[in-house]
Order: sequence, then structure tokens, then C-alpha cells
Amino acid sequence: MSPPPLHRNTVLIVEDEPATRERLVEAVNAHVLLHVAGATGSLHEGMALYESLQPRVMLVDLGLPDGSGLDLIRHVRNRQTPTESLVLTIFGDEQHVVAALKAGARGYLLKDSSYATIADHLLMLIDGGSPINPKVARFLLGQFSTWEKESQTAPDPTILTAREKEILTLITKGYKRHEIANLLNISNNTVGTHIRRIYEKLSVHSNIEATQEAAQRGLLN
Amino acid sequence: MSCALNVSAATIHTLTQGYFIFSDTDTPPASDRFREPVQLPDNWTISHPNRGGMGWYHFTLMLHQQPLGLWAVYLPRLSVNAEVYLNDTLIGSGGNIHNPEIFNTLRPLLFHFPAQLLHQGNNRIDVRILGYANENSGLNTLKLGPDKDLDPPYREQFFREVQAPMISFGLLILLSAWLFLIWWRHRQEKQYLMFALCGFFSLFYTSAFMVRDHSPLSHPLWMWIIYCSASWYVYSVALLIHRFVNVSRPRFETWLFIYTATGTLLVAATPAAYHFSILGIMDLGMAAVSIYVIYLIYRYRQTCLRSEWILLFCALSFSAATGYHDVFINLAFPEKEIGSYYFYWGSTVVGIAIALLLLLRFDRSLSLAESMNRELYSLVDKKSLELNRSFQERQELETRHAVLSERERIMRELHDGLGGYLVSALVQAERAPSPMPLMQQTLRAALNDLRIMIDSLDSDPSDIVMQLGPLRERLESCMEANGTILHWSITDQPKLPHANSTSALHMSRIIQEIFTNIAKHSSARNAYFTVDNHRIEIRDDGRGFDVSTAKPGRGLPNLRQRADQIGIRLDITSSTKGTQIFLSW
Repeated sequence: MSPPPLHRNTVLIVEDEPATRERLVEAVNAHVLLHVAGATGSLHEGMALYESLQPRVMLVDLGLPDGSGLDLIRHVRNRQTPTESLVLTIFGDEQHVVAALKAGARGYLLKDSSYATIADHLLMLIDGGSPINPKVARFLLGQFSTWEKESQTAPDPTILTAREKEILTLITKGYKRHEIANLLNISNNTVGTHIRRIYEKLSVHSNIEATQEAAQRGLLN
Repeated sequence: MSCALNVSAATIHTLTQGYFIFSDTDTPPASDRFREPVQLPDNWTISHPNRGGMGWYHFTLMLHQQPLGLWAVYLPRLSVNAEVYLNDTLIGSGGNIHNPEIFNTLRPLLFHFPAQLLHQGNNRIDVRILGYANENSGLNTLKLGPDKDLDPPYREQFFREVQAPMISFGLLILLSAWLFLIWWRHRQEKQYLMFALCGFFSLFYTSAFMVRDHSPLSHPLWMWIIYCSASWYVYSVALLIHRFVNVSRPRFETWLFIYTATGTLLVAATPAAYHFSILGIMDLGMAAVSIYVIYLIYRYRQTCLRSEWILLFCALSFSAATGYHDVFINLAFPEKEIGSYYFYWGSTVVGIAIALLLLLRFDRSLSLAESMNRELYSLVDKKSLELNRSFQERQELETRHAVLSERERIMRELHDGLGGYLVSALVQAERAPSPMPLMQQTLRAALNDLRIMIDSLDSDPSDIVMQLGPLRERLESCMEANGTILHWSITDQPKLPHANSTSALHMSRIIQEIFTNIAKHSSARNAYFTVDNHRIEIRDDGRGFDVSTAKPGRGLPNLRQRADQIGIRLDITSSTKGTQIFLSW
């Protein structure tokens, strides 16, 4: 592959279904600001490509033949590089999306999305926003409300602010980012930033939970 | 010497005029020995101060004719014991008069005799009285007459002065025994013991009035017990009231004990001549104690119920009044007529009143225990109800969890299987050398339908917003293809009635069908989706259609059928300016 022009954002695609992968490559390259730096169908190769390419964005399918895409997403998060991940999903269902968000993904992308939507989502991510859908928003509201009840510290920086809750509630109703921006009299970008912060909180919380769980298991063992 | 009484024609002969002599003879002294005239009532404390022993009263009854039938002699009040002789024949005795027993002070005596013992003319009646110095000994009245006339007043007085006290006395013994047993089982409840002591002392005091024969004790010993037990009774009442009103005065109690014990020992150790002086001093002290006790009840009335302190106050006042009467009226200021003694009534009333209060308190504590038990039971009931509920909740949670994991399993299957194939097929159709738009459309529709089905498997199907939010994405892709702009507005969050997964799916399909129609047929530039107050409005600015002649292809009958199935009203209006559809419930 030719080196990317400087102004283009690099994308790494990890999807095992060849036709779908090819289509994604085409869709990404079709946009003038995006460039596919690598594409692969295996987790192992995906890891290696990430290390060597350090792409700006990664599109990761979860069900890979040699492992789960979640491992790659988690690995990227833990490396704390500028690379950000979107999970590839067929239905956008909370089961897949939330697992990926907890692992550190910044959003999701439907596999059959139109070229325009694919480019939109990637650019939104690069701009600091995060793709979200009503079902994921509702799940997040429920999850954070549980954490808020369990929270021992006040103020707890890992629970949602009133504005964040408001935005999630509007998303559950089906409102789009620009509509929410209009309704709340804020900019599109601010809405995106809020959502990204919510994802970060989710990831932090999940990480804490995982650590505690591991510690408990360690103690029990 | 004798004196014939002027006998009236009345059936009952009341003898008041006679003669008297102190004499130890066992038979009536000769008539000429009676030189001292006497008028009944005769109280030796007044007529013969400091004299005691055997005294003989001599009366003469003049009868004009021989009486017939059963007659009787009635002595309403005397002291201490009596024998009656009629024409030198003994007709009755109030007990062994030689080995002095007991008081007949409060006991009326009635002796029957056949009227043949009387005869026409003068009849001689002699009454032998055993009495003690300065103890209100003597004789009040002597009546003779037919038994049928004297028996009723005798019975009445006997009931009043002997039977009724014995009944209350028996009651008091039972109550004392009962409360003593309560104390025995609950030693910390000292007031029950104090009450039993009260009962014990008043038992001695009152029994002396009632024991008639076979007393194991001599008269002086009896007297000692009677007077001292009265003092000890007052002492134990004071202790009891202290405990009843919850007042602790150990020093006062010690001094009262010393005072009472000293008096008791002094009476036992000194000659009989000093007894009355000692007893007088003791009684003065006890009178003061009784006033103190009544004051205590009033002073600490707030520690008792209103009914309790009033009852106690009245009973103790009554008891004190009877005590003052017996001490001051009978002993200190005796009258000619031998007076009645009432203190035994007073002590009985106090005993019964206190016993009643203690038993009521006991009853209240039982009730309290019962109500605590009831509370406990209701608490247990409440807890088991809570447990049941939490068990049910847990079961529901488990069921829900099972449904959710089943749903997850299906989703996984769909995602990895069918979903993957559909996406793959769609991509292939798109990327085929000769694109197949119809195939693409069908595959996309299949994918969307799958997504709607997955959405409808939601855990809360009644929350319509949760159904509608995700629906927008599907609708949007359908609209975008035709260049129609979708305007979205949800201001309310209405709940669907009787919702389940099926009705949620129906609802989503109805809405999707309507939008498919808009995309296919309306050529609209704008479509509006509004949810407000239990109503969904879907409107477009397309070319409209004739609702009455709509072709079956538009799927209208299908829409109506689905709407009917889930109890939703479907209203459609259409014109050349557009179509408006309301779904309401």
C-alpha cells in the first residue's frame, strides 16, 4: 500500500468477511480525508498492523476466526496511543456495542452502512464525537444509574452529569446529534464531546470493575 | 331482792331494768344478793371502771298468761361472753365461759327454749357476763319473745356482723394467697409480698372477732395479737404504698419498724394494766402513719392511673376513718352503749381494693405482653411477606434473566449466522459486475426486518419510546433512498396498554409499513413523525391517495388488522396535499 498523504487520516480495518472488508476499504478510501492504511481478517495480524501502522482509527469486527476483536480494542486502549476504535456490528445491538465500549471502543458502525454514513461516522470520531444509538444510550442510562446508587464518593467523577443524562435521554428518543444540539442550544461538537466523555466513563468504570473482580478472584484463590 | 318489770302486751319483751353483781358462782346468785340496780345498756368501762371478771345481771319478767310454742332470748350486743338462765335453767351459752375464749363483741346471741319454761306470773332471767376491765365489757339489750319474731332481726344482724365479714375475710385470704404466689414466682415484684403481709396481719386482726370456740390462745394473748396485728397491718400498708407509688424511703421504713416492734414487745412484757396506755401511744403513731399514707397516694398520684389513685385514696381514707372510730370513740371516749367495731371492715376494704389494683396491674402487664406478642407476630408476618415478595422478585428476575440470555443467544446466532450472510449477500449484490438494485433492496429490507424483530425483543415492551428510538435509524435509511427528509419529534413518553413483545413488534411493523408506503407511493419531500399524548402522528406532503379506493397493494387492510390486534385506533386522511395518519390509544 502506498504511504498515505499527510492530510489523510489512516484507518485500519479488521473484518474477516472478505467482501464486507473490501466494501469497507472502498467506502473509506472514497472519502478525500480518509485513507485505509491496512485491512486484515485476523486478530493476530490486526495486532501486528496496529503496532506497525499506528492508525488514527480502527474498524474492528468482534467475531474473528482467531479470537475476539474485543482483545484488540482493549489492547489499543491500554497502549494509550491516539488510535481510536469503532466496533463493526450487523445490528447495532447493545450486547455487542456495549461490550466493545467497555473494552475501550469509541462507537460502532453498522456493516451495511452506506459509504456516506461510514465516512460520516469516521470523521465524527476523528472530530472528537462518538457514534451512538438509542438502545446503547438507554443501556448506558441504566448502567450509570446503578453505579450512581452504589457510588460511595460524592462528587464521583465517574458518574454522569445532569447534562450527560439529558443528552442520553434525547438519544433514546431517536434524536440525532444536530437535533440535540438545537434542542439544548449547544454545538454539534459539544454533543459529540459529551458522548465521548460518557464512553470514557463507561470504560473507566468497567476497567475498575474488572480490576476489582480480578483482585477478588486473586484473594479467593 | 327482786324487781318485777311492767310487762307490756307487746309480743317482744325488751328488758332494760334489772340488778347486777360481780360474782364467781357457777349458778345464778340468790335474788337477795342483787343489790345494785342497773339500766341497760350497761358498759362496765363507764359503770365499773377498772373492774372485770364474772358479772351477773338479774331480770324479772311478769307474764299474764302462759306462753306457748318456741321462744327465744336475743342479746344483740355484749362483751365478752354470756350465759342465759331462765328460772334457774341454763338455756344457752356464747362459748366456754370458764376458760375464756373469745369475743362475742360483734356476735349477736340467740338462744331458743320451749315456752313451757316460762310460766304465768314472775319469771326469773339471769345473764352471766364475762368481761374485762376497761374493754367495753357489758350488755346492751336483752329481748325475749316468740322465736318467729326474734329470729329475723337476729339473722339480719348475724349476717351483717358475722357472715358478711367472714365472706370478705375469706376473699381476702384467697387474694393474699394468690398474690403471695405471684410474688413467689416474681420475687422482684415486692409489692405483692407487701400485700400478702397486709392480708396476713389483717387476717389475725379480723379472725379474733370470728373464732368462737376452741381457741388455742388465752384471752390476753388474743388481745395482744389483735392490737399488735392492727399496728403491723398499718406498717405493711405503708411499705406497700411506698412500692405502689414507687417511692423509696428505707430510713422511714426502719424507724416505723422499730416503733411497731417496740410497741409489740412492750405490750407483751408489761402487766395488763399498762396495755391500754401503750396501745394508745401506738395507735396515735399509727393514726399519723395512716394520714401519711393517704398523703403519699395524693402526692404521687401521677405515678398511677387516675382510677387507681382515686380508688386507693378512698379505700385508705375509709380504713383510717374506721380505725379512728374504733380507737377514739370506743376506747378513748366510750359511751354507755357498747359500740361497734369497724376497723376490720376498713382493713378488708383496703385489702380488696389493693388486691384489685394489683390484679389489674397484673392483667395490664399480661395484656402488654400479649400486645407485644401480637406485634412480634405481625412483624414476623410482615417479614415473611417481604421474604415472599423478594423471593418472587428474585424468581421474576431469574425468569427475566433467562429470557435475556435466551435473547442474547438468538442475537448471537443471528449476528454470526443469518445477519452475517445477509450483509455478505448485500455487499456481493452491491459489488456484482452488474448491480442488482432489487436484490439489494430486498436484502436491505430483510436486514431491517431482522433489526426490528430484535428491537421488539426488548425487556420493556410497554415503553414505546424505547421501541421508537431505534426505529428511526431503520426509517431514515428507507427515507434517505427516496430523498425524503424525516422530521422527528417525541415530546411525550406514553406507555402502550397491555403491551408485550408481540404488540411491540406489531407497533413497529405498522409504523414501518406506513413509511414504506410513503417511500414507495407518496413522492413526498418531507415526512413528519410526532409522538404526543398517547398519539402518534405520521404526516407527509406527498401526492396523497383516495383512502376509500386504495388498492390492496398499499397494505391498508393489513395495517388495520395489526392495529386492531393490539387495540390501537388507526385514522387516515389523505388529499392531494399529503396524507395524515393517527395511531391513538
